[in-house]
Amino acid sequence: MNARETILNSCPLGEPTDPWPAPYFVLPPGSVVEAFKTSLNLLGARTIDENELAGYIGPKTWVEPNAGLEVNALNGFQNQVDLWDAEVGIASTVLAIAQTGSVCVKSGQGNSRLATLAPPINILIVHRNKIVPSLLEALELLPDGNVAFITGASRTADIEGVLVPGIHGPKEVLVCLVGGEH
Amino acid sequence: MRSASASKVTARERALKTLFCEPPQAQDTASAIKSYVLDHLRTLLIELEAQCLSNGIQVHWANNAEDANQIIVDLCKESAKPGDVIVKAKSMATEEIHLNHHLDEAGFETVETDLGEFVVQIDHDTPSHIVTPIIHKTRKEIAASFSREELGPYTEEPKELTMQARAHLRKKFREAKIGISGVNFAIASTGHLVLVENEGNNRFCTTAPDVHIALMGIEKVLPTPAELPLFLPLLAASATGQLLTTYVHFIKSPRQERETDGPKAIHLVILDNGRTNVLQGPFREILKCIRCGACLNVCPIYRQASGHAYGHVYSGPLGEVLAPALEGVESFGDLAKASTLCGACQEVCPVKIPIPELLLEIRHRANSPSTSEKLAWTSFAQASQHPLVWKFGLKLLPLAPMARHPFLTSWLKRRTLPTRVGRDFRGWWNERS
Ligand code: SF4
Repeated sequence: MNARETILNSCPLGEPTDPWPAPYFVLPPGSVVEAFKTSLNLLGARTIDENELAGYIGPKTWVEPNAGLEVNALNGFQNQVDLWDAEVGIASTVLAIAQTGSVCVKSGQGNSRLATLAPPINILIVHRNKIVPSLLEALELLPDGNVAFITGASRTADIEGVLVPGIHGPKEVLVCLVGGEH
Repeated sequence: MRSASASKVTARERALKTLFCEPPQAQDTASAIKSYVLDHLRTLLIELEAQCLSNGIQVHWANNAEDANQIIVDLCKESAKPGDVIVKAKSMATEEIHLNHHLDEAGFETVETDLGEFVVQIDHDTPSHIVTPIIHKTRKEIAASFSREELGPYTEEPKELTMQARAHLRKKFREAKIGISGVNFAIASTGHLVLVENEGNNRFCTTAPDVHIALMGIEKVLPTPAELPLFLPLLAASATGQLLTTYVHFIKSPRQERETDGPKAIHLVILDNGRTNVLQGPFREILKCIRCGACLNVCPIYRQASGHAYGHVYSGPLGEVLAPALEGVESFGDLAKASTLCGACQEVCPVKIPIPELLLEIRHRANSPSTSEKLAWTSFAQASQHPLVWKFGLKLLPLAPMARHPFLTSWLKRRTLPTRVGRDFRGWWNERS
């Protein structure tokens, strides 16, 4: 018998059972946009306006190709820097979660995973109408493919419990809200 | 120390209350789901394997540590040569099988990339906590290690030390041929490998190198993604008092045609190593463990003795049960005596494992005083040498949001897990996008 069979034969097949009891989740009241901003605030992530983007564009900025399609300020920008050496990374997101202040990024079609990881400053573009109340909806709408939820900046508290941002990923995460709410 | 531990517990409780209307009910549900998983393990693992294969992830099965090490070393030899860098994300499973030792023997340069694990590695030490591995070290000790390894000018500033590690490890990520990680949850219905972390090193390990190898115990499987809105925040809150870890990765496939980065090959190694025995015995409940570390944080014995005294990679109340369950009460049964049976561990456990009950059962089966004596002795020794251990309770707090969540009082609307949103929500979403 190979390892697969040995292991599987020692595991129970199981009978169908009743669904488990449902836990109740606390949900944000009112506007998901305001709730999202409040959560970001608690995480120390700043929100910026579309017109503030220009201030972050320079020779060491990496802009994801499809971010330019979404935001005029980035349209036509040519990347001059290797992504590994970029100081600012600007990337698009597919949805955001009000309850936790998280964004969901998906790789493919112009989006690279390193764009939200390697540069010390990370700007995430979030459409106001893509903000969902909680993880429940985010998991329901989980896009196909390789995705990640990002909640604030990379951080560690390994040395004597002192919180230090930017151990491996971005030291600073900024969220640029675009579009209308409806 | 009492006030430090009180605020620590508060961070966990505050996060749970922000997330769930009734946290104990969330714990009961998580426990019920894990029971379901253990009862249906064969079905779920077969489903997981099929999904992974169809997503392009290669699946390997390992009966024990020896086989798992062999499989992983062989995979590494296929895509790297001796001297090449292999980057590792924090994984208890790889520590359980002592993988680094085998990779080093095969001539690879294995680099731990979690800050705590990195310090442990350069000091030839062992982790003392499953979530915060260097809780036993002072900044002075870390400063000395970094300057010995020539990572930068001598400094005792945590921020500067962290930046030195960042610069050093960034080079390793760029060089690495292979990345190795654990798995927090593997989703049977979709084949997603779900990994959680705060640092971002997991993300580098599973993105930058051309090959990603993930090692998981058989019990890490969950039926569907619908279980994650419960388990992800429950794990984050129990571990560090956060609502969600900084990163949650849903790894589904190797690099696709339209992707510009990510590994070209992904291997999932599914590990038994004693788990199927535990499944059929009296300690089966311990397989529900999601390695959050909450039981260590509240345990009066752990807090005085530190993790090293347990003599096993799994320490604290979890280790007192898991070590003898996996490796036999003959070898590690003494650990069960290192408990006052105060019940704090069971209370905080996000999956409600009846740890005190399991410890009593192990005590029935084991009979030697050596380890408990060692622990009693060590608690004195540690207290005098490492005042830091006393400050333990404050260690994880900085990761939790500092302010009280303003929605707490008004978040009264409630929803249920299995059916709640459905078509209405989708309709609402489609209209908006
Ligand atoms: S036994 Fe429970 S509390 Fe302890 S690490 Fe496992 S899940 Fe967490």
